[in-house]
Amino acid sequence: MAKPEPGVLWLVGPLVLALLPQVLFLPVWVSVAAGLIVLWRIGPGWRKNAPGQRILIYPLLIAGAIGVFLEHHTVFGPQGGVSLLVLMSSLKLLESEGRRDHLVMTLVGYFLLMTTFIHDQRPLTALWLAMAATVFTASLIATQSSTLLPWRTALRLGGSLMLQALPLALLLFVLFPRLHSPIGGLTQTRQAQTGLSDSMSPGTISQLIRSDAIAFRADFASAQVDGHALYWRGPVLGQYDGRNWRRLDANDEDVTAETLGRPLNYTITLEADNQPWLPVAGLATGLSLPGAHETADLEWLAAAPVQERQRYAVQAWLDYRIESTLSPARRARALALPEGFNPRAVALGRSWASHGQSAQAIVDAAQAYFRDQPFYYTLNPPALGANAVDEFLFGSRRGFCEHYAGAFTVLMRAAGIPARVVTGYQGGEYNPIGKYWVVRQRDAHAWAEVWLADQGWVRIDPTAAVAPNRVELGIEAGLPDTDRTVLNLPAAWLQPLRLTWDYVNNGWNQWVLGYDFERQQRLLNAFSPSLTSLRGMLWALLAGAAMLLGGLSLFLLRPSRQARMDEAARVYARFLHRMAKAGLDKGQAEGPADFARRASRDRPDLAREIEAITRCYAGLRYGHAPREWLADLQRLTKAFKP
Amino acid sequence: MKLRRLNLPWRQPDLEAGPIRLSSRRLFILPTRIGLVFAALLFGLLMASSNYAISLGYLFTFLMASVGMAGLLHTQRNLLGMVLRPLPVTPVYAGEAAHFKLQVDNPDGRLRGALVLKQGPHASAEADLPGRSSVALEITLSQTRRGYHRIAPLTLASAWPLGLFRCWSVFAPDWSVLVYPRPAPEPLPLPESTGTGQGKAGDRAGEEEFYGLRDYRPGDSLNRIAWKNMARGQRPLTKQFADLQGETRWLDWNAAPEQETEARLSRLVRWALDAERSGQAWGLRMPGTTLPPGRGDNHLKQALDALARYGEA
Repeated sequence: MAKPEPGVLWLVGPLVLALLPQVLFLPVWVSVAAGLIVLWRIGPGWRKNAPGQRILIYPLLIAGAIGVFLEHHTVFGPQGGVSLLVLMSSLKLLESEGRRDHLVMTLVGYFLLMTTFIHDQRPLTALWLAMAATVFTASLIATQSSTLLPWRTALRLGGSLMLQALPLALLLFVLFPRLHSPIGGLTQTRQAQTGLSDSMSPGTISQLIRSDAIAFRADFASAQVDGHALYWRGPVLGQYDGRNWRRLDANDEDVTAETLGRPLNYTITLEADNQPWLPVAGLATGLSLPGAHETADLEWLAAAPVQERQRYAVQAWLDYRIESTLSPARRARALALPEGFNPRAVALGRSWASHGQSAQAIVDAAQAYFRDQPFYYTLNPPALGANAVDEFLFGSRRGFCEHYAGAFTVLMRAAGIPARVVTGYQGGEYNPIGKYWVVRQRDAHAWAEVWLADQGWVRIDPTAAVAPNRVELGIEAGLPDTDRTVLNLPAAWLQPLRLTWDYVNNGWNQWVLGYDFERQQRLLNAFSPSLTSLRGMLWALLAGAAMLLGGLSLFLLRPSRQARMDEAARVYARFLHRMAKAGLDKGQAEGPADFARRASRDRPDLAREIEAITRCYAGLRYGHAPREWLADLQRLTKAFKP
Repeated sequence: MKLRRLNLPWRQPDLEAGPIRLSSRRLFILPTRIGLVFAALLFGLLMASSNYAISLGYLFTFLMASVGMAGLLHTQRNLLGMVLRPLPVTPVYAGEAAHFKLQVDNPDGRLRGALVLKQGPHASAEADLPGRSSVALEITLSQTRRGYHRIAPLTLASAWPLGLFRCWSVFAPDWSVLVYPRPAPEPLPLPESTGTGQGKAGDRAGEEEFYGLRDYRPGDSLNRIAWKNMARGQRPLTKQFADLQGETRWLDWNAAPEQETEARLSRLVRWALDAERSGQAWGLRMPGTTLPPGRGDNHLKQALDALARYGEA
């Protein structure tokens, strides 16, 4: 293959850098087509201004547009539009030659970089795109010159341009007024992610906990809180069909709730999981999220499935009493069991009830049953048949939290105690650098709630009876050694690195990605309340931009050494003129130092000034005097009146 | 501080002699067409950022906008502090193109990119200027009229480094070209030597006759230096002798068959060139000027100069 000329590399290289992260989101055929076109351009087959080549571009473009339409059903927007743009920009390569084409390609490249952010705003992606933008700028500089600049020079210039632009960009980022909400309300682009769902069957949660993904981060107002001990409530499942637990359909009755003790304040930053659940620990009175609402089962739901990272502040009471009187309809639903399933479990529950024990005693008996029988906590339980609870309770006795929570709830309902399954998260990891708790999908958990007279709904975690470590120390400690491999746990020595990286990520999420209207208001208010108004922001923006640009122009447009030398010579000539008027002429062959010595001898009263002026001048003219000396020389000469 | 006259783009620049230093007060800057497209793109990026609530999109948009602003300063810096020196222009005949070479000095250590010299529709080739170096930008202007012409104001411009802004400076150097009249295209026999006037042809055949003095040039024979003049304190001059073996030709204004002034001048130019080629000494006689007979490049130049400037105030 012939070596492509460097101008082509400046054209193709940045574009390839911009396209690489796009490959993750583009349809495969678009990436492959773009790659082939790039290879064509730099390969030996490409000819400058070849008419056949030019004619080929248009059918290819039309075919590409049709392909994009078939793929996305549109040629606009963040998916179809970007696919088409990628095809168009790579095709444009085939006919790009001159400087103008290069400029256009660079602008298209900047736009392509921007579209990447629609899909991916992680710190490393941002770093990559910043690098690509620098290379684009360098390529612009290299090709704007009349002869192609060496790549090193161009990259250095491009890099310094980016660095010089950075302070102004940050100022604009902080001060540019943010909108309350998106103006257009356009299509969301995020893909569905794993998270808690509104139904639970054996295996649901044990699948979920294989994911290392972060569910949310919790930041407590007080440092003493042990995030580990908290149960983060997700969907509450009150309906059982023999296999699956589901949420109750009608769930909007008013129930009583009573808070006890002191409230706890914390902020949750929830990752997008395409689910409506807003995890909350304790009884919350309200969430700082528009549209968030609470159901009768004490679930918090967002107005729509969470497509973007959300942040909400919570004030919650960990001690509370809810629904101290249970309506007959709700009581019936909390006792319902499907006919013909799990006869042995139902019989066991009924036998406890027939002994006339109190509800509390029955609950204790069930927990004791789990503790005393050889139950085993494992991620790899055997498959269960139609009577899953029976097989689990009296056969395999190997299961994960959903098995224990489900079986326990069935037993309670059989014994006449209203009960339900609650899913959510329990545990988490403390990040000592950022002083917040990280809860991952692997911390997903299921437990049970029973309704006791006078106490309302009471949380019972049957898993704690089997594997107390799961509840006290977290999933990693709860599982047997053989199961831990599926958890995708990091090596211990990586832990500090991982915590730091999470800290960086969290800061990035909070301050860069999450920098919205609310956060901007809070930050600016911390500086000065006057900044929070639109007018204040704009004034501060103008003043700051003027200062930064002024400083940059002072730095960039400062007089060069040559200009300083010329100015010094001009000022010195004025000095000589004044000396001549005072009767002291510098001879043609006399150097400034010699002249100063002679003049000082003749006019001892002026010796100090003469000496100072001459030293400044000589330093500027012949030495490497700093630029401040020029001002000194100007000042001294101005004041010099012989 | 004295208030200096403001340079405004629509104001005719003052005539300047000697080297011109480009200070910031004489530099103008405006966005290019593609710069405006860039601004529109930034606006689009800003809209997209707020539409999709992409926080990094804001940051990226602002970064690009700031790069544009830094680029503006760099574009101005690209011309700042440069020294322009008009180089002497070789005289041409009317109808030919004169080559104006402007020497551009870069006194600083940094690279200056994509400089172009312009005057009206005419432009020089683009040139990059590495640190502490000089380049001559050449602008070629065809000359139609004879005479001594001063060049109209020039523009030195560059859009480097980003091409989003164009910075330029307008200046009017005291920079002229001497345009000789166009030689008449059809040859006519040289006028006959008439023997009238100062010529004493044939008197002392085979010898050379002193006919004038010119400035000493290195390489002139020492025998021919006018030592007497030198002793009087004048600059060194060389005596010139004409070979008067043949006849001295006088190129006479009235001998030209053309009646119209410009045509007459063209004829005389043609004759002067032909006479010079013939190897004989020749003189020029025209209203207001008489050039004694002689030969050589200098003689020819004097004649052409006189013809070019004929009728000048």
